Amino acid sequence: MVVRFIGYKPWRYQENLAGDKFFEINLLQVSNDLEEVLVSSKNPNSNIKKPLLGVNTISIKTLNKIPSALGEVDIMRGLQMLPGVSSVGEASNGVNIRGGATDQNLILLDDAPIFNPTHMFGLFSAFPSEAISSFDLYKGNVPTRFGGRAAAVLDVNLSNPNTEKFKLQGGISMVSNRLLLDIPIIKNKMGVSISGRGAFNDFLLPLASKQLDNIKAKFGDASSKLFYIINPKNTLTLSSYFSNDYFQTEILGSINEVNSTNTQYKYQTFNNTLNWFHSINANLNIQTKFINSTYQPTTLLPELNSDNKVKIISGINFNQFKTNLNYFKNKHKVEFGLDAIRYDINPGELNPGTNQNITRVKTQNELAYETAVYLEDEIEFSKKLVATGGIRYSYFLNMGPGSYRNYIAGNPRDEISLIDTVFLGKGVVQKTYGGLEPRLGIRYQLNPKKTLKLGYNLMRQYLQVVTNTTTPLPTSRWKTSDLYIKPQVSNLLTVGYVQETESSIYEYSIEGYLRKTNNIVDYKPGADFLLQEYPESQLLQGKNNSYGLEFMATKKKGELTGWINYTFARSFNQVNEGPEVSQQINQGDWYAANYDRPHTINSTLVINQGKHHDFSFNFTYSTGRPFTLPQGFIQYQDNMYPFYALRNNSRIPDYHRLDFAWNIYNPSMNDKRRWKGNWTFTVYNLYGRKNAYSVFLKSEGNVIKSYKLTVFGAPIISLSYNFKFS
Amino acid sequence: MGKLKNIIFNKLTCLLTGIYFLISCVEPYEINFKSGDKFLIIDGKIDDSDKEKYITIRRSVINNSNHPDFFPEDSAKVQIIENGSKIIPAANSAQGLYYLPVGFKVKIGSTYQLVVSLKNGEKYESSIETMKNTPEIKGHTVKFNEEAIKSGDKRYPGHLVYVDTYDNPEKGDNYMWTYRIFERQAFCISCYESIYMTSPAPLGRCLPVASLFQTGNTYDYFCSGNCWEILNSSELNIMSDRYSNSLEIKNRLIAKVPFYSFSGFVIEITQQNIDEKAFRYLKILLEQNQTNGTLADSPPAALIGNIKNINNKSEIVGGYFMVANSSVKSIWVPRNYTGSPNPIGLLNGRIVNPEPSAPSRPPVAPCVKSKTRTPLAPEGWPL
Repeated sequence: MVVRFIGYKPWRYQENLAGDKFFEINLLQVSNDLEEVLVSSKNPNSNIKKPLLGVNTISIKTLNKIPSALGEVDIMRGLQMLPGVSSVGEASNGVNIRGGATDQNLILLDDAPIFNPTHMFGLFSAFPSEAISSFDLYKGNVPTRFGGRAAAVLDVNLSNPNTEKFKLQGGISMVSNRLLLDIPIIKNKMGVSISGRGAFNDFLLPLASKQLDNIKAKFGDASSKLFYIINPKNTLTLSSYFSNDYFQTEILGSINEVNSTNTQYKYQTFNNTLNWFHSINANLNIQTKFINSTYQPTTLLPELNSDNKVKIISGINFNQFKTNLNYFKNKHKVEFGLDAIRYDINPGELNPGTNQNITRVKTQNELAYETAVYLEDEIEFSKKLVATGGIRYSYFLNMGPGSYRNYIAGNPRDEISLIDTVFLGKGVVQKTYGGLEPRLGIRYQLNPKKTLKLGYNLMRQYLQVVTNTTTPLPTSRWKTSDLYIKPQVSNLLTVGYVQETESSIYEYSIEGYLRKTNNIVDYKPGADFLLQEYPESQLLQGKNNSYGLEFMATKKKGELTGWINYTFARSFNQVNEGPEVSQQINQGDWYAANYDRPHTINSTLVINQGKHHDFSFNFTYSTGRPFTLPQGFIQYQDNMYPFYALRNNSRIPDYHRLDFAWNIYNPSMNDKRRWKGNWTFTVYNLYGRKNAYSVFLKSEGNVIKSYKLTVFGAPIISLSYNFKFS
Repeated sequence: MGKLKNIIFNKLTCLLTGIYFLISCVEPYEINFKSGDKFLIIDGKIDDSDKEKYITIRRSVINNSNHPDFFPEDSAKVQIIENGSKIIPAANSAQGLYYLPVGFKVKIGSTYQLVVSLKNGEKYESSIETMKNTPEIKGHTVKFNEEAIKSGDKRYPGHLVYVDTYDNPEKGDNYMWTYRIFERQAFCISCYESIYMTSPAPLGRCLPVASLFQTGNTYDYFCSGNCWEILNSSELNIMSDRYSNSLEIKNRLIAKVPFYSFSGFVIEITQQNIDEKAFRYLKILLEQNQTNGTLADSPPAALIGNIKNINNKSEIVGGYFMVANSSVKSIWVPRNYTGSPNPIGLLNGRIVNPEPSAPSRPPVAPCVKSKTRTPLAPEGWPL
């Protein structure tokens, strides 16, 4: 029996009706129910009340419910169900937010930067979902405490350990096995949580087919968080994260200049954050953080008739000191802080191992400092009007030892225009950049359920990925600004309107944005950054204009929860450094960015069927991304080749996909058991559409053939088991 | 329990197979090319060989049926400037071809520049190119692999041919390899829905026969004498000495030769030392046509050659003026193998179908010398 009434939660009951029976049913009002799905905020009504625009989150509870690829709960895929977040495809190594490139997003895990947010080249998120408590995506207003990237900030937090009781949870999916331990060390004083995840199932591939024996794919990650309450005024937190990936596949290309039998990729991240919180008084506290992050990608090239592997090693060593003073009084919330970062980048090192026919090459390490001071105040002028105003001043120094080249002004930067090379000693400043970064957010509440918002951001980016591929490889090079590579500067203006229904069940929002970014990075034809001592000779800088409108409707409570959104967004680049063809892209005209997808519709629905199971669906549609059609053909050595001139002048087919998940919670229905198991059955790409990841042309003798590359071209069925023990 | 374990294991294996196959799923896709403006292609390669040398000047445009049309640019003035002073004129024959004088060869250490004046007055110049010395091919390795050749999800057996060479002492050498494979050809002509007649001599012809119409039948005819099929490389193979300057370049993969037959073959490998700019040009061609189709392709970019309009530097000119010398090596490969590979033959995978015997039939056909066939034994062929 199911009893429904508008505004109330349905009541379900199963009974063998042998005769007349009397039931007294009390329906629970939906508006009194706790929110099941929160798309926009952590607190009810906070989207209406907070002055910041474009701050999104999805609760981890919701992420666990919605369908995921191969049963791996994935923050990065979940984010792409939100308006304004897209990617170049299913195997993209990052997301594009409001017209920004993947490297324009600052991705933090407990304040430490994640330079590569995915495992297995974009197939899975690098974040251990079990260990995550929450995350916020700042794609509009960005608080002044964040800086260093031009587009957005994704702030992910590891769960604080439980200092009272032991908890164990984990899961098994077709891809990985996961475990999380919550261990109190000193009751109510100190606890530690440790999580681990590993995917090592690739050993099955050659058993399945000889054709797969050349594919290897393994990854693992681990995190820990130690939380210590020293006394009521002081706490100390130490968070660590380690991730390791190793894969070998033919679909990522190879290194032409080293003769090898195949190409293997290996990359590791190791992050540590020490956070000391000190409460000075009820209104004033200070947080001080020491952060270290290392990222080390390696390309391995096994040789013919030898056990030797030639290695190309690169790496980033990031150290940060950050301190925040927070003051709350009356109608003010003030935050003041200092921030200092040291970048030590190894751009590349060729280690031939035992091969004596390959030269050992080491490019000069890059050393740079990025410092900032910031002040922000959230002022409640009235119940209706609240504003957040902040200013950040960032200053960047590119330091020696190293060298730089002088070129003839106005000419393409190459060997022909080279004048001389200048060598710098240790501690000598090569180049500095700096400037103010104003941030403003205004909320005007028309009534308790309707709000108008306005936001403005200026952000400066001094570190970027330099790669001319559609999506960065894990081994792509990170490069600080220098004499020639100017920092990217983004200006973002956002306006929005949020309305909630009386019952707080539905929320509607519309946001519009306009972003202008200077000094975006693009590449000369044939650019090659591998072990390149002077990358400025390979790249060009230009402008990006992005704009969009995002509509979103959310149902936050009830049997059916979820959201639907539509985004209209455009992103265009212009690169025109001079009159020569090699100084321009697209002959100096505007062209659509690689991730420009004008129309996107996303919908996520969760059908709650009581506390023991639910169903969920994801649907996503977006316009196909741009690709380049040739303008003509040429012949070389009796073979025909396409001739490209205009960038991104066509589009791959539109993308759409429907996913389904069925979650079964505690099937034994015994809520008193300490061990609780959940099953999740997922079908990713339910109707098996062969969505194009890319469209490309190949010269095959005297004919040109066109092909489509698909990542998930059929329904992907998976079953995963998760458990909790407490 | 053991049975259940097996079932679970098999299911898991199947799923993983599916996942990894899907990740690399590539299939043909139809594209409608847009008709564009005509653009100029100036192309030419001069070297130290005895072969005839010419420059081509054409304009390319995509027509409505997705095929390129090439329009010749005749009546242009084309010259090569040697060492900055000596002018070598090229004579226009027709079809946009400009032939250099017979006997003209480039010399090691000399510089060359191409200068073109079109009949509309536009003037184009190449950058100045220097002829570099090419080292010899020192050694080679041949390996049989049952899955040497990959085409989509299919694998075919073949022989992998690697070469070794020593890089020149100077920095900045860039190598290009091409090859020709010589395979013994037993059948010199194939007639579709027709039969071979030896007249008119010397080549004969395929005569349509009513009884064979719409049968799709093709008859193959034995050669009258020795004959070799020539299979030219169609893939670009280039490498710079960035990481191997003055050192041995070892095990460079040159060719993946399909298992055409059980007999051996000769591979003639040409090694050339090309200019830095030419290398970059070919590298773009390679990335845009050969090594593309990966998850992280470089977006195709304008192919900027070394020829510019001197009055309009932003005009895109297709083609390249290349100067190179060659080192050639012929290798006899006796086609050793393991397992039981099936030869694919030299008829594009078709099974040989000789005409049934009858009085005075079938005749034999001559081996006609062409770019893809020769009656002369290639160098290195065992006598």
